Amino acid sequence: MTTQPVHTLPPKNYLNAKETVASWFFTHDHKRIALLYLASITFFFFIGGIAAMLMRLELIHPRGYLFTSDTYNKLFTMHGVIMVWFFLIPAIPNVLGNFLLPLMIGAKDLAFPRLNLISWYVFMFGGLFAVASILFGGVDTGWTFYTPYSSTYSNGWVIAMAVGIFINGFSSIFTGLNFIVTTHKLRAPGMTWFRLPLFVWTLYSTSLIFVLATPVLAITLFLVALERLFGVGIFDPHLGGDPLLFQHLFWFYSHPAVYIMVLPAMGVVSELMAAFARKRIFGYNFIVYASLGIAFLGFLVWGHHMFVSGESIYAGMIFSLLSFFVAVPSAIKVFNWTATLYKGTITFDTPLLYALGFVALFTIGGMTGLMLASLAVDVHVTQTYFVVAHFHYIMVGGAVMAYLGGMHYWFPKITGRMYPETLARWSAVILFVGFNMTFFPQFILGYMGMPRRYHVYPEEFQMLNVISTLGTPLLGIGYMLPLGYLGWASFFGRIAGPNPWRAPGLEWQTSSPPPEHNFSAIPVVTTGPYAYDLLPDGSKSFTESDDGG
Amino acid sequence: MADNVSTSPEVLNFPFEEPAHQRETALFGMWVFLVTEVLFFGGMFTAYLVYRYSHLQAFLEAGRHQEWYLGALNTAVLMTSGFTMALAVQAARRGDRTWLLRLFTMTWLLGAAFLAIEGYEYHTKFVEHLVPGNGFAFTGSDPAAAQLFFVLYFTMTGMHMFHMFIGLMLILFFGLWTAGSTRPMHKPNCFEVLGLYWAFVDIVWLFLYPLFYLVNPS
Amino acid sequence: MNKSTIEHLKILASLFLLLALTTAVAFVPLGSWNWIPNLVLSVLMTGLIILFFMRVRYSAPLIWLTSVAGFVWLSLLLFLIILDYISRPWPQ
Repeated sequence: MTTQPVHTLPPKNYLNAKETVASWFFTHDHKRIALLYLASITFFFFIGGIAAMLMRLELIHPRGYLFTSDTYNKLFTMHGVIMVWFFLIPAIPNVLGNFLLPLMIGAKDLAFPRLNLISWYVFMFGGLFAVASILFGGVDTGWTFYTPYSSTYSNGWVIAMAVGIFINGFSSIFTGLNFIVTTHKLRAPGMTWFRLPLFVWTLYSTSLIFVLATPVLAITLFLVALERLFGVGIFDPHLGGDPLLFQHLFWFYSHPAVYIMVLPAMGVVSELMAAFARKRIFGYNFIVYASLGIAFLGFLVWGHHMFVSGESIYAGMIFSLLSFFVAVPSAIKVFNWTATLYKGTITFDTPLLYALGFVALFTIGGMTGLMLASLAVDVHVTQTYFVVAHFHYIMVGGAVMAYLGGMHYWFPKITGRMYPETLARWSAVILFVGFNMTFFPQFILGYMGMPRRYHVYPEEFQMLNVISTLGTPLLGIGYMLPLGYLGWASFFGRIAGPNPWRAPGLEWQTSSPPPEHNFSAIPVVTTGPYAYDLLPDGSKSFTESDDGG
Repeated sequence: MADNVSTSPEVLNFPFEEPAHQRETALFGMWVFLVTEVLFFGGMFTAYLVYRYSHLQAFLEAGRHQEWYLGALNTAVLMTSGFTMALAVQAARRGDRTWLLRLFTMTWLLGAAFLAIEGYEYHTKFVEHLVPGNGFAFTGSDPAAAQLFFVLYFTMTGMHMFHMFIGLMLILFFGLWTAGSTRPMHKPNCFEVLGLYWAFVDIVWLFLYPLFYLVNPS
Repeated sequence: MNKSTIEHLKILASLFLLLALTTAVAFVPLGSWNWIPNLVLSVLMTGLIILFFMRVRYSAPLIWLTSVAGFVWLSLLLFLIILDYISRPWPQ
């Protein structure tokens, strides 16, 4: 084993370029904006996580002694709203995406740097309304705001929350717009579309969804607020309105929204698989088409959330069929990742542990999604804990693990330092165990008939609920540990150098941390991505250089 | 060439190094934003589709109370403002400040006329008890569903008016800035982007007009 | 008056013509089906505005693709949603 060269942090980089508080809050630098987002989403993750913890505590006992039903309703609403809009949707795109997109395509920044900063302020402004709504007394409609409860009968702070989500939506739209335009217009010379890293492709696909789906949510929430404010609405059955119209419009956004949450995660996993198998990703083109395919097909399946709500059985059949189709590109990706690992030079570093965890848990989540897409099965398990387990396997077992994997992988690039590897591996394992302990019993509970959003349940479900709750401290440790050691390592970690993983992407060809404008000169790209086989001396590592230029 | 035509170079924002690149990117960005606007209004058009399909008779009866000639007049006014705006953009591109200001003024006046006519229409609706809510009174086969027509009418034209109002504010802002300084002439992309926005607001109205004014007109 | 202004005037004239046409068609007794010619004419007018007032006729393919993308996507929503409503029995 060769001795590691000793590195120093580059004297001038984006972190120390200017050091006033104002230079952070008025920055145009996509890397600093990524860190602003990192702070925000971590904060919101805490709020959503506390709500979850309280819910699981309540569910230890079948009679639910901690909270009233109204309070419990507010807890699960808060958990859903905060986790969906203020954590899951922004986490990978706005932290890792913001930081990496320009670097990966060889640009100095996004196309509209000021719009990027505005998107963060808009995000925070939306968050202000959401938090205010919670502090004033909360909302009890569920994150799905079904009418006519949300539009007429609920006594919660629905409008404040709706305004918060509406504003948050603009943050998404601005980000998506920025990413789409950047990817089209700011690629470095030689960086053709099919030389882009797969993470860029998934950010692009996600951005298409941001731009095409979010506005429909915006207008839908606006109409709900209008109905609440003026007492005249379009979802009111007394006027001949159809409450199901709300669900159609809501899910037209919210189903693609789940692909917003999972596509970037899949992009991260593609990067991690290639990096830790030290091999070109298998079936690059297929993964590209699969990403675009998921983005497109994801718009055609929303009715599968409404199989028992009153949509016609014929529409249900069509949506069911289309939902089966949308599973195909995801499966293609799973096969390609596995094939990438085959005969690769694998090192089980922390990011790969998270990526492997993603594949396992996403597969379970995806397969149970197919079960839910089957009309007959869905009649039995809809609105039960089966659904809750399904989407947590994808969102937490999938998206959150990919997010953590990506944060570990690119941590040295962002901070210039390495995290403690052994501790990180243990943390990943604890998270995996805690996650399964918390959520696997919920599949069984749902199948046995325990409804979701209820805090009172039959005695025979108690044991599984207790097991589920006992998993949550492990989950909590799995989240707290990285927060702790990554925070510590940001200041005291071993200095990593420009390319500690010896990976071929453009982001690794500049210093760690990168200079303020990313590259001293715009690179000219001559090879495709994951060019592990194109190394000068035939070895499986790139030459390290300290200037990062 | 008029003597207040600017010939100085275009201001470049980071990270652009070529005016043509910056212009293409700015226009593409605006088009992507307009896509979001199509979907935003589209949600309301979806509601219209669903309810017209479900309550056709009520919609036909409600439509008789609309003043088609005011809608037609407004459409003509807005189309003309789209014309003057398109010419204003051309003037900005070739650095012709005089015509830019003249055409901006015409566009603004036409837009304001549109809002005035619409305001008059809203007033007549109020007088005829066709504003949804407690004061709504409609004699027909299905007053509840007829009210749905008017809810959609006010919401959709109201949202359109809001967008027009923003457009007028932007025209005023850029117009005053241009009148007081030569700096905007170094940023012609601003005008082109505003022109796209204005044309889009015109397009939305082209669909609102038949759906709300040409439903069984009297 | 240069060529560009004349072109714009021709487009405006065409728009007025189409406006007159769509208004006139509304008085033709087609029952409840007059929304079809109305919408077709609206699409034509929109096309003229997009191509000429918004200069898409003279822009890159990426721009014209983007200009239709929103409408294509909206039609996905409209199409799939109406499938639900037409296949339900609606209370009379």
